[in-house]
Amino acid sequence: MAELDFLQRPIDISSDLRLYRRLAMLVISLSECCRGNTGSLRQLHFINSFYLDDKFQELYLTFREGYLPLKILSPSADPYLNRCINYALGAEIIEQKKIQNGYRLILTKKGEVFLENLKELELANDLFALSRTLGKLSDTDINKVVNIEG
Amino acid sequence: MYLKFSRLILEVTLFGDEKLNCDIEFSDGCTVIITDTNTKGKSSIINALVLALGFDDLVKSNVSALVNETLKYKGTDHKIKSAYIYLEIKNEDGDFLSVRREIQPDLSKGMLVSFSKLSDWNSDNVREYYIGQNSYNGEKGFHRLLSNFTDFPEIKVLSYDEDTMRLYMEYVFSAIFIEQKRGWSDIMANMPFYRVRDPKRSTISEILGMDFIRNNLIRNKLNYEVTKLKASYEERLNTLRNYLNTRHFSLKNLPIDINSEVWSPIAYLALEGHEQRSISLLLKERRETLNTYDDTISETEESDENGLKEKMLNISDEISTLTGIKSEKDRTLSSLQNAISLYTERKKVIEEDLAKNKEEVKIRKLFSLDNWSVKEQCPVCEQSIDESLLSQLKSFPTMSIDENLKYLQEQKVILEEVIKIEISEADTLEKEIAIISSQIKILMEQHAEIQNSLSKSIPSELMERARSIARLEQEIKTLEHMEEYTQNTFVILKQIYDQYHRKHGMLVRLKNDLSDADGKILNKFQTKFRKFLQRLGYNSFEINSLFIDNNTFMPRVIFNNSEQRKKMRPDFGSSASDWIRIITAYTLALHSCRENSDSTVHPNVTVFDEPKQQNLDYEDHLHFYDIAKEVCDNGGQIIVAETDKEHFIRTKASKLNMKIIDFKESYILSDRPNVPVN
Repeated sequence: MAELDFLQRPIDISSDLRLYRRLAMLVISLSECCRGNTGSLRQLHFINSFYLDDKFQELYLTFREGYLPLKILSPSADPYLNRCINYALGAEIIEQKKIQNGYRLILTKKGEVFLENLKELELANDLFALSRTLGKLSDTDINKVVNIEG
Repeated sequence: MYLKFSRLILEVTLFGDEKLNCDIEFSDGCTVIITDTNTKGKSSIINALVLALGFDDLVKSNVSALVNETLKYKGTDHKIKSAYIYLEIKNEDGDFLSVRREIQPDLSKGMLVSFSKLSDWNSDNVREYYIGQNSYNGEKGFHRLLSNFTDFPEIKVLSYDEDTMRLYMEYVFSAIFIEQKRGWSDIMANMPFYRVRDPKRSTISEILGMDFIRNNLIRNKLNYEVTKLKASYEERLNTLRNYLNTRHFSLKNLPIDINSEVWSPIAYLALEGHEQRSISLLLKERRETLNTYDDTISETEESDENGLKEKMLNISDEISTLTGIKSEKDRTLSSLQNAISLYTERKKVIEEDLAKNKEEVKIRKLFSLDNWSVKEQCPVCEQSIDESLLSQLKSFPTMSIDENLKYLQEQKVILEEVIKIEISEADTLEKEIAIISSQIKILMEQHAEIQNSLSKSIPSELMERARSIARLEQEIKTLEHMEEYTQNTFVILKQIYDQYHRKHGMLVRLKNDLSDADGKILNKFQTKFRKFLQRLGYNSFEINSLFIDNNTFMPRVIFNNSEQRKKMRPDFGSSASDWIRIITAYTLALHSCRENSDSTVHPNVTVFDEPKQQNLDYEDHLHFYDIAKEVCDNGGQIIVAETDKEHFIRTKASKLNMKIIDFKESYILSDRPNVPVN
């Protein structure tokens, strides 16, 4: 009798879950949307939501223009971003700096070279464009969105 | 069913080839296995009885003692090389069956069987059987052999998923085999879960030889049929009601609830402010009215000289056919357009993903000179790097970036092809629809033209009359159709209604859960149970307030408080020792009531491990042996294992002429060389 082997077909992965473009997204976030190439985890998650979630992007921009009641906005914490940060720390394109209330993440020299390469080869243009739309984002800006009562 | 344990041998070989054994011959009546202190191995003997029969689930948590890797012998631990259980049983015809099961180094899933006594065991004359899955059905299944040998019938019971399944021997043995570890916590405490619904009730019913299960299966079948008939009735009734309601008719005297007693249904016209008139009455009125027009029909026909009317009718038919075709094509076109827009959207998503993935490859190249990118593990989170951010604990394989790119390209090509095909189909359809529309337009013009010429050639009075006749004929046709449909449905509904009431009646008659015969059997069981309980010194409640519940077949107590009479489990109000008395009395009463029915599946053997639980009073406990003696005098076999420091039990058992196997202070295994098995 013929034997049958059942093998599971590999599953395709969304490009947003691939490693290297997400690393690019991380360095762009730090360089283009955070001051002094330094950002907190909270800032990075917020920017990440802005990049990946079209709905959030639209709502935040409407909110910034002052047209939206605050309670609708909710940035999400993305576990894949945490993993990506770990990889980036391992690759030494970012580093951790201890501050009074926790840590901040800073772009390293190597990270800056990576960023320059991206610009030079015109890669991740969509992300650069989005970051220009978002502009520099401070913790105070995020507080306006997430520290809402009621 | 009939089974008697005849002989048991436990044989252990230690590393160093020292052999230890324990050889016990059981009496046909009562056998008492006694040691002076605990932990001498009595429970191992008791558990070996069921393990040898392959009922592992009954002693699941208690096998460890039997399958230890080491054994304390002469003060030191010795490693066990091999260990076997040999068991000899006999059936009602006096035939013997011997079994050997290996318990070390592993609890085997197979056993050797010889159709002779253990003393005639010969390794050349044995057959191999297996236990576990399919052992009740497979040709070499041990439980199939055991069922045939002990005359255990195949009993069908209800399962949890409303199906029927077999009542396994394990269920029966959970009621007659009381081991020490869990057996004294509840009645049938060791019952395994094999999907039988109400397992205790079903088992007790069969042990007592009642027809309860058979009646239950019939009841269940009837219940299913009645529910099906009811659903079918309601569905047909709703269809009929919807059909009539859309035509402004309604129903009366037709029971909405199938359980209603009245049946004389009428469908009537239900217009507000009008008298309720049935379809047949309306039909009669219309036909009478039509007759008054009969005289004028010939005149109308004569005036239709040019056959214009017929032509007009033909054109009408053609228009309606074409309109039907057009609307069908419109629907197809619209679904095609929907599909095209969906596919286009999907294609857009794939293209975006594809672009991002291509970029991913380019960005990866930036890292290729870097040592880090070729490392297999992230130095920070120590997860392996497989080019994705998914958890490395995932249980499915994922595509590499190159595979992913190829896959997306293929998807894109397929989608493009599909969209191309759909668009071309939509184009063809659009053209066809345009042609049909123009045909309809031409026909409409022709129709209007003929209508004009007809109105000129026929006097308006005649035209009016012709229209009335046509309207009447149409109404009669519709009413006839309604009448036919309604009457046919009434016939079917009546059939379902009658069938339902017949089956429902049968079900109501069966609703009294117990048949008279079953009631009598249960009553006798209750009497026996109470009698035994009294003799064992039960004191928590008045004996007469304890009874065997008709619904569960388990003991219950009637509890009177100031407000109401309550029925509850006796373990809530009984003392711990009285709960042991209840379990003992119940188990012994089951054995004793074996004679009340021919269809009992009680194997005529009961096994107790340490029945003196919860510091039971010695005097009361000794009555247990009086009852056991009574049961054995009627042909039953009872095996008891007890610790007897004070020698009360030895004295009592020998006074009652029971077989005593006394290990005194020693361990049950010894190096006596006289094991007769080769």
